[in-house]
Amino acid sequence: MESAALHPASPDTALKEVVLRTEGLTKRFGALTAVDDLNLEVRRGDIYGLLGLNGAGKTTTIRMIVRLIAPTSGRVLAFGEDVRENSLAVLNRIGAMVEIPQFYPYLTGKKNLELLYGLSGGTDSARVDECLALVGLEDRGGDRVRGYSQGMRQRLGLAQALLTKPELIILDEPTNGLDPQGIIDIRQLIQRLNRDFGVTFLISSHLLHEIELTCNRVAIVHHGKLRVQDNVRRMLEHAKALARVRAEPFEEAEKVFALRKVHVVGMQDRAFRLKCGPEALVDIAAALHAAGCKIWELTPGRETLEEIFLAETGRKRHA
Amino acid sequence: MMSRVGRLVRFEMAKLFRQKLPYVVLFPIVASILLVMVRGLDVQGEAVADPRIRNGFEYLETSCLWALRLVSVFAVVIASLSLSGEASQGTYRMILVRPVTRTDVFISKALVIAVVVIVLFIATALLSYLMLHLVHGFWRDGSYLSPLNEGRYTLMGEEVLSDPNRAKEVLAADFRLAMTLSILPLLASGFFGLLISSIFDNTGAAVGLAMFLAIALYGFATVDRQAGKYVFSHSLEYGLTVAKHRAEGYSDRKWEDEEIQRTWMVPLLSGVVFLGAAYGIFVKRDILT
Repeated sequence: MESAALHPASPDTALKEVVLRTEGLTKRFGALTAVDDLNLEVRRGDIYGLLGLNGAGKTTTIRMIVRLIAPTSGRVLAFGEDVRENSLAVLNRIGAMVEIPQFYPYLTGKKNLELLYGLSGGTDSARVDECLALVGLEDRGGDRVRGYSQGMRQRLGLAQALLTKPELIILDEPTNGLDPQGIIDIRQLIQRLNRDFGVTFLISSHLLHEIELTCNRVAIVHHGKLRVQDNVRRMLEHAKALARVRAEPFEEAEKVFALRKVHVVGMQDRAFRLKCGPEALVDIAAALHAAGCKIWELTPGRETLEEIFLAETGRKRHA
Repeated sequence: MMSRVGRLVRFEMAKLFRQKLPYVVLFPIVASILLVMVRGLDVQGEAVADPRIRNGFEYLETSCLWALRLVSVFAVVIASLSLSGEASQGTYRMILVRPVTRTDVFISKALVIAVVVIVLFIATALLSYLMLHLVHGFWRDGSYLSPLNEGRYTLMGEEVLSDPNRAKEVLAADFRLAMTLSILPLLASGFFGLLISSIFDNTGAAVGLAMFLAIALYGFATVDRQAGKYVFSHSLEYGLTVAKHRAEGYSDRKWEDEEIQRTWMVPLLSGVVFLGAAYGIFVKRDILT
């Protein structure tokens, strides 16, 4: 797992394979440092998850990437070019949806898309219809946005990000306001565009499960700082061994763990999460049995992404 | 850059004409022209037996003055909505993530304001002139405006009001000059609204402050006439007021080169300052909404 400190900027020779890179990106609002020396690296073909609690600096980072706000220091390189210095060439290749998408309420969904597509030089209304169909709004494109639910606006926001067939799509909380089926649809659409067309995605979210299911690489941001940046699979493979033990009475079980100096990470569904590998579990089971505890569950395992996230952000999970 | 600005102008126009506001605003402008002209007809009707025969050009100037005051209010409102509206709706997030620069967006917004003001200005002038003909029968023999054609004059007490030497063509030239002098103050009003709009994310605050300041400046210019000459919106009054007085027959009322120059320069310089300041604020600010 790469830590922020162990993740120096790559040499320029590596720029070609990096689609998006932030270098020492920092944003201060008065005394508040919203983003602090952030070094992200999104590679071509990634579905890159930007994880963080509310207020961690995810949206501020995305706003700096699409130059809605200016960094206090640092820079953003997309396709090897500085976004602020060569914004037109860069933004031609990027589609973005920042926060809850807002449209002109007095226009239809389709008209909104046509106008926005026109700004990018697009004239083909068939492409607008295609994007509406991709997000499941083909039947509602003729309705005014005023009557759209938040989920429909979210879908329309995704459609506008797809219009120009961008190489990199940046989505800020794309599943906000969607129903469970909508979340699945969007996840599948992202995966399909990535698999079939090689589109790279940067997705910010606080929904750990979604990130785990959708992304191949992830960064955890806390208080504006990068805590972890790695491949999701490798992150889970290298995760600390954590066993799940459900034994009663609890007090007796806790005494056994204390005596054997087994670290209790937390509780989950009335079960202890213990920092120990499968080998140690055999001894723990024997000790619990000797102390008269009933053992209902004894499962070796590893930290989940959620536990890694909570550990990195200094939170503990409780039952 | 031209093609990007062109696309943005089309974008802005498409949005503008799909809103109710422009059509709602047209109503009072047209109504003010009609009201003044129709009222003029009534007075003219009574005036057949009244020695105070009034001149149709007086109504033309009056109707244009009222209509252009409304246009200037509309220019302030629409301009103060233009940037703040995008910010408050959060639609900048859709526009600025596309391959357009903030300079493109700003130029297109300013151009659209200018185009709308000019279109309303031309429409006001044409409609007023048309109404002058329709209501006052300007082209017919025996029209109520025959004094101008026939050298008759108007009396108010002992005073001669209509100048028998001031022909219809002269008054028409006065009208054209007066209208030409009005265009820059109107544009300056629009750019003043744009400046206020660049500061605020909230449309209510932007429109409210822009209107308050515009009215306060107008009030100041009315109270302190000497200093008021340097208020951009006050210049709107000069040309039409002089033309009206001349149409009324005040033979001592002349066009003054110094005033004409000021009527050009004050709104021109004000407009440039407003545009420059609005641009500076807009390109530097963070879009946080």
